Amino acid sequence: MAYRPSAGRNQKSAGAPVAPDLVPIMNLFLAIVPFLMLMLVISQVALVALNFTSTGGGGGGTGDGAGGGQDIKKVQIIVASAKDQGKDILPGFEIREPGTETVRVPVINGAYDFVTLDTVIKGIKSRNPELIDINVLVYPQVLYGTLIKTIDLCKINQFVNVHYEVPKVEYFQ
Amino acid sequence: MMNILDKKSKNKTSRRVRRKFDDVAGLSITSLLDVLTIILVFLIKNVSMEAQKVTVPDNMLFPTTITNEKLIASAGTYVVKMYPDQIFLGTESLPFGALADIVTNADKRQKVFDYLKYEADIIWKQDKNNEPCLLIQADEQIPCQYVSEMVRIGTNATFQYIYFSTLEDATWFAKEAVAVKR
Repeated sequence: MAYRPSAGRNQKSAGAPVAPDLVPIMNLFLAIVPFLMLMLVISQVALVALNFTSTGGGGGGTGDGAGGGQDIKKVQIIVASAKDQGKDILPGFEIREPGTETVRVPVINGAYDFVTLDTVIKGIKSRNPELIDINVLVYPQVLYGTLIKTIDLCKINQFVNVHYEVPKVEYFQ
Repeated sequence: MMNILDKKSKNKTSRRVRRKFDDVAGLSITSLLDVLTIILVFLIKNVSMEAQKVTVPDNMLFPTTITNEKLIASAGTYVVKMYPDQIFLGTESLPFGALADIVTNADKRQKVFDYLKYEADIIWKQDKNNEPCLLIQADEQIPCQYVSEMVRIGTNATFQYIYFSTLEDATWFAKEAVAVKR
């Protein structure tokens, strides 16, 4: 049976809806997803925050008063490397606590003794349970990894505010 | 004769054609598409430039720590990457120059200060409560004098917070203890 043109069009539109062809989209997704998963770096990245002494302004100054001018006992951990040259500089850690003798933790076979340092820090914490501030003074040739591990040990032992210091700023022009 | 023909035609009309198999229902892939779309969005988010701030840059060895602190919520973060041989600024990794330039070249030091100050000012202007935060991603083998200098420049450029990127490893201290015992 022949229909009029208009009726024919109506009949066509009234037919069953055609399902969209999703195969190309699926192919695209399946190609992109493994590619993106390859680019994904699965590693637990952490952050270590820094505090600054009131006189330091970041790296500058050894400062003789820590933490906003309050009367806080200043405990200092000095980290030196064998490459750092100067009088009385011994490679390793030197821990200065007011009222007690300076403790020196030398490097053993070229490696820093973090275990002894941890024991010393624990001792400081047991004597001063309310103290949360500690200063880390680092010499220029100490490796960054050593500095971070020292700061990490302080934070593990509940010294929340680790102040970062350097002995002096040197420029070579 | 006519009867036979009539019978044949009748049989023709009454003949029922049956398919051998029933129609198989079309496989619905809508839910699969939904899942893939969600995964795609998630992955694209991870690969975005913003994620570069917290991922480990290529060919860089982060030091390991047990502690892991969170960035403050109101911080606008700017990243500095310090390799043993060169320094890159920002997530776009703009090359600054050699690591030694930061200590030995006053002109370059001034330029990096100007640039960090410019970036810090942008963060200050974005929101009244926004505070600039400098995220230093440095290789564990570089000497501290370069890191200290970058910290000094960063604080002078009005960055309020300085963070160091590390890899979280709860076992590093135990490994050190074992190494010392040996």
